Amino acid sequence: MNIGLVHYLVLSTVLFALGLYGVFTRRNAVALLLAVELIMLAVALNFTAGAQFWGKPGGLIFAIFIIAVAAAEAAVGLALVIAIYRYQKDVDLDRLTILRW
Amino acid sequence: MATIIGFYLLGLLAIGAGILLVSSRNLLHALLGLAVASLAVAGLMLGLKAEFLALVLVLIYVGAVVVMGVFAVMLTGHFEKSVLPSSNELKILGGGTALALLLIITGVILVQPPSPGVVPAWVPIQKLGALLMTDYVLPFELVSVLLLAALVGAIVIARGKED
Repeated sequence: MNIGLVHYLVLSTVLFALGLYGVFTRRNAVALLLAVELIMLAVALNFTAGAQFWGKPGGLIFAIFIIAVAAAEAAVGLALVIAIYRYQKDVDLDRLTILRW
Repeated sequence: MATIIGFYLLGLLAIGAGILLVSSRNLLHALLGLAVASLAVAGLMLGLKAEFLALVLVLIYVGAVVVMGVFAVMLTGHFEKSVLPSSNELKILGGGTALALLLIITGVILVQPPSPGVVPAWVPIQKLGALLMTDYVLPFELVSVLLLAALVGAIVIARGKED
């Protein structure tokens, strides 16, 4: 049995679900951002597998875009984490209530 | 045969590193999990004959995102007291939701497996570059603007007030 598209799709679904679990359960903001990065990684793998098995290089282009968006998200997210830490000396998301009134 | 063994080895490595990422109570171990998962996925992309994607992934994820994560861990003081408090009551609910999503999507894939019927082939980088400058030039410019805005925004947010 050869490795087909289905294998890659299932693997990236598993990685996506793992990242989703991390997003749901993490209380530390940095750990939550890392889980989001895992989700982006799974999506990039999914696009690459689809592009290669359908023979359409457009999917590869969009995998590149997803990696670029993940980098932008990491930059802004970690900057926000640093700003929050400077404000309340803590990055515990359960105690992050400064936007509430 | 070698591709099958390689796929399962790299896949298990990626899943194991992902489990480390979402469950470790030490932030540095979680970062290590992200680095290893990125390297494993890059290896899988090499198996898919997408060598440019694999190199870009190593460059950006392992080279930039993980390093930025280390900066964030350092700047939020998690080196000394690096053990996180144990996870919250959402563990069962979040785990159940993620598991349900996993089962639904996997079920859909397995019930009606897509059969594209093309063997992966190496795509020359020249072709990717030509596509970026012709068919996909609008999304390319959009991503450029997004990156610029994200960089400027990150600097503005992280710098804070000057006083």
